[in-house]
Amino acid sequence: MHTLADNIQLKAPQLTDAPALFACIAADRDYLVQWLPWVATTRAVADEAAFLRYCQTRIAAHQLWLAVIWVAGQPAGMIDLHEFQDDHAAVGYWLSREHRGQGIMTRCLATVEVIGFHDLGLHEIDLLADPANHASRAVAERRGFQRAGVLREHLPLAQGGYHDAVIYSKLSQEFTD
Amino acid sequence: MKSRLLTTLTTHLMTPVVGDAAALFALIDQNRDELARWMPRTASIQSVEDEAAFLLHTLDRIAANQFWLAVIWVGATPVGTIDLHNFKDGHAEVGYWLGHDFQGRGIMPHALGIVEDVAFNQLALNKLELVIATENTRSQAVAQRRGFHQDAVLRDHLLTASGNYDDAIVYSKLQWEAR
Repeated sequence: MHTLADNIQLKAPQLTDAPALFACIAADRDYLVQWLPWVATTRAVADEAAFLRYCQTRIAAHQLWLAVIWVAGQPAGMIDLHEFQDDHAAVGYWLSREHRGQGIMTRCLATVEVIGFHDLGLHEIDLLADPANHASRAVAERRGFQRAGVLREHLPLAQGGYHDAVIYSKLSQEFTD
Repeated sequence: MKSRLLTTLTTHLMTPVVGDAAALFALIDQNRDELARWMPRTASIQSVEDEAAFLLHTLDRIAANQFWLAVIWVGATPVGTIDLHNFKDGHAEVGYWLGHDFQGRGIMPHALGIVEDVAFNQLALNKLELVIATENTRSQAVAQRRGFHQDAVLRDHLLTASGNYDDAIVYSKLQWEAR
């Protein structure tokens, strides 16, 4: 467990987190589904529990690093590192509506940079965001990720089709606590 | 070798078989220094058996729909390979290599054109990506010749055999851009 502030922690995912995470997703479905197509197929607590179980097997296989973001004693989102290759990985994250806009994700990303660069020995972290996802891009830019370009038609949409992705990167030597 | 290669020999792509290992290993061994610069796995191919093991692993991953690979033949000679990997969300990455004597003849652009057809029409992908070291201008020429679009430059993205990192250009081609 990583404690970022009195009321913010990153914890390993547990199946018992499923009801609270599902409640966050269900309460904010229309917003989240714009950026996270799996929201459309997360229709019940059991779907979220199945996803958490899948995450646990991927973590055990060292294919994934993932933490549940706890705010004020409740699961409120997730942050992860995936697609490990050539000493780089991609970071992904989401946070419930009621906790956005308070700098929480920026603090979480800072902690994940410590984990990625120091603990996991990464050299580079990539971050992909929908061009219209200003909240996500603001987190990347606040943490000093550099814009590397736009990957065309890269992100699948829940309703079919694709959106472009702005790709950012940060190198280990650019990281300061 | 180059001067004796008849331009009328046809280039074709064939699914890999373990029996290709000896010819592919000989080709890799001849081109070891050049290939190792851009393809770190070259260092792990030290014998025909290593290449055979790679091909066996490749066949497993093809069967699991995680990979696609063809051996490029000119006439009766295997001259390189071309593959699709990192399948995700309707896209995949292309990788390729060609023996030095066979470069600069338009073989790889031709092979890439065939792979585009496979990817977009048989595998129903929406996009192909090419991730190429910024210093690998020969490989970039293939991407450009096939009309791939430069999307991004990723700093220090490719781990080299010497333990350094190369910047990479990400190119893409979308299904509707292919012919």
